[in-house]
Amino acid sequence: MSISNKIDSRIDNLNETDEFKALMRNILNVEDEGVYRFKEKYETYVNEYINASLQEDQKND
Amino acid sequence: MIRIKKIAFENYRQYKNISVSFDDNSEHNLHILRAKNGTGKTTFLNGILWCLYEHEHYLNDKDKALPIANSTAVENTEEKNSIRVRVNLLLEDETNNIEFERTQIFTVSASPLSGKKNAYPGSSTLKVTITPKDKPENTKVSEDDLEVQSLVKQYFDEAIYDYYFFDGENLKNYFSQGKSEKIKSSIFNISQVTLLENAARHARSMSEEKSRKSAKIKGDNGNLYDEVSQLASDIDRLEKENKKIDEELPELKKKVADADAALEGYAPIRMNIERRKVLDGEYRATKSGYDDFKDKKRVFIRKYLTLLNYYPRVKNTLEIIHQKQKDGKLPPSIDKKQVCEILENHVKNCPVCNAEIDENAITHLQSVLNELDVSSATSNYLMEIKSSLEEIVSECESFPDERDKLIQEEKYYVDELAKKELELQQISAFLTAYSNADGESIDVKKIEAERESNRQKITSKEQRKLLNERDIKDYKKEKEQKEGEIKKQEGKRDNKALLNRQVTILRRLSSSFDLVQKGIMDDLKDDIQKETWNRFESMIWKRNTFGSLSINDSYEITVLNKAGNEMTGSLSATEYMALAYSFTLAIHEASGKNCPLVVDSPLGRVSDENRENMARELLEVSKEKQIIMLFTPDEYSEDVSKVYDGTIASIRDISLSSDESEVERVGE
Repeated sequence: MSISNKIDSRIDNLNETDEFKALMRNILNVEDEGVYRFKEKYETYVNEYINASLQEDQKND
Repeated sequence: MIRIKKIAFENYRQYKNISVSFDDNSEHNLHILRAKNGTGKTTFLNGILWCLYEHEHYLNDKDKALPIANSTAVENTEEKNSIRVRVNLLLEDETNNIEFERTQIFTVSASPLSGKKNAYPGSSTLKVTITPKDKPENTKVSEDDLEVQSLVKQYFDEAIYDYYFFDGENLKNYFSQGKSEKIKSSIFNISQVTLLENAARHARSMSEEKSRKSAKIKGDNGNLYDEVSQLASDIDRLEKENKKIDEELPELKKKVADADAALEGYAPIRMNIERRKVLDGEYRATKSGYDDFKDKKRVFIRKYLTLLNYYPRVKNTLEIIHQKQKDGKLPPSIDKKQVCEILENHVKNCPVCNAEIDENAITHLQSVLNELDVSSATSNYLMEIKSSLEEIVSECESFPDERDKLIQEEKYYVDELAKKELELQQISAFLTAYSNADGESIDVKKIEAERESNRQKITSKEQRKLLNERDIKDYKKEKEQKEGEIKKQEGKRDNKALLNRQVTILRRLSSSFDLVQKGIMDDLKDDIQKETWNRFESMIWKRNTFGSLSINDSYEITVLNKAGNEMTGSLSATEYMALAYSFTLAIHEASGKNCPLVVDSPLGRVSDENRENMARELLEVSKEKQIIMLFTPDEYSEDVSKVYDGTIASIRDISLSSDESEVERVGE
């Protein structure tokens, strides 16, 4: 199994939601691209995740 | 699979002008180069290392070695001319041809004493050319230091160079303590674990940064909310109290009026009552005048607090203006700007009187200009503010008179009110003590006592109402301020809440990446351990000795016997070599990049009974991986040739020229 697949499989097996796993993969892509201003990208993805979670919470309420 | 297609040497040590190709024409990607000791076997390996890393790691003693530039070429080169030394390593993978080419220019000069020529090195450069097989037009050439180093690292990380370019005679280095750390770090690099490590580190540093930011924001508005709520409750209480006073006052006033009417109807005291009526009116008018006076006094105090504060500076500025006026510098009689323009533009006639501006006039204007030290703009500004400053000074100087007037006025009100109050008290005292004749229907004493009581109640309630109104006004203002503050804080609090959420997510990300990273490292270690054991087991002829093999977190290998006792230190040279091969191939496998393996003295330390076994194992490996082996003729014994002859891709001999100065041929 290639290392990328191993990382993917390890992420899949984490006790986390699918949305959080997607966030992890987005962050890894940022690192893979070697983005110099990584903070902005991290912040965008983290905020997207927070907003989606809030909307989900509101829906459930 | 990544394979070496060709290696070309130019003036590199004894490889003066040799090119060796490694064709992919067999099931087994195994190529053998045979050479006697001293012919250039290790130099071949060092040539590849020099090309990739600029270091010849397998040189015995660098300081005592011959120079890199080929000695015949140096001898044949004119003094002060240069020689190019070049090694070109051409690789291919599934999609690209990758060419590494190192070049170094040497300048030749002769010793003035012996006449012997030497080659002096210039800096060396590495160029990497990547040509896509399907789109050669998209060839990319890199010469930037960082970029080419990164490309070299991708294929053959120098930290573990000896796991790609293996020296069978240097086994002791393979399992030294420093080596295991390098292996670990290299596994980190090649396995993308650095990606996970960077993600965890970045998420951690961002969470710490955001946590610090959040801590700086005051999130608790509890006190402000309490204060606003307290103020609202106080305002409400006071407004209710005033409402009640408003309800009670008419009744009380009616009672006083009724009392007055009753008393007025009683002839013996009518004059007193009428006088009191007049006095009451006068008292109220004076009181109202005094209230107005108090407002005027407040305005006066506020005005002079400001004016007197600025008075010394204003007075000083005004004195400067006056002095300048006295000196004739203000207002400016001459427009400095206009004089400058006349002189600079050589105006022929005066713009004011139209007289001719001759040499004398110019000299005069220049002297006038020198005397003007204040520009017209500044002068005009000073003149403009002068009257305002004079007004301020005048007002300040009239302060003592104004203050005395106010003191007098206040004294008048205070005295008048006291006088009237005293007379009213006397009338009331008289009436309170008044004794009616028996049998009269009116009880003056009682009515007056009740009237006085009600009047005092009215005064007290009116005063209370006034105080309440003042407090309500103050409380409302304070409440408004605090509500504004809460609004501001709420904006910050929203930001704090977002920061705290981000911190939580970033911490979770960081710990999750740590977890994945640890898992991947464990997986890789397990894979390497398993692969090393499988290969080791198949290379060794002993079947009942070795039980297992383990690799710890620092990538140190331990070999155990069937009984579970460590026996790494008791391995024979052959077993040690098998372990080195097994570990090397396992690392290649784990790296995910199927790189070639170039081995000098591949079976040199392997005892006879194991040679065939190991040769077969390497032949098997060469189905999936390119292996280039450098043998001495003795090492390429009958046992080995039996396995390889007719099976492998190529067997070639390296031969020196008759004067032994250069490799003349690499061929069958």
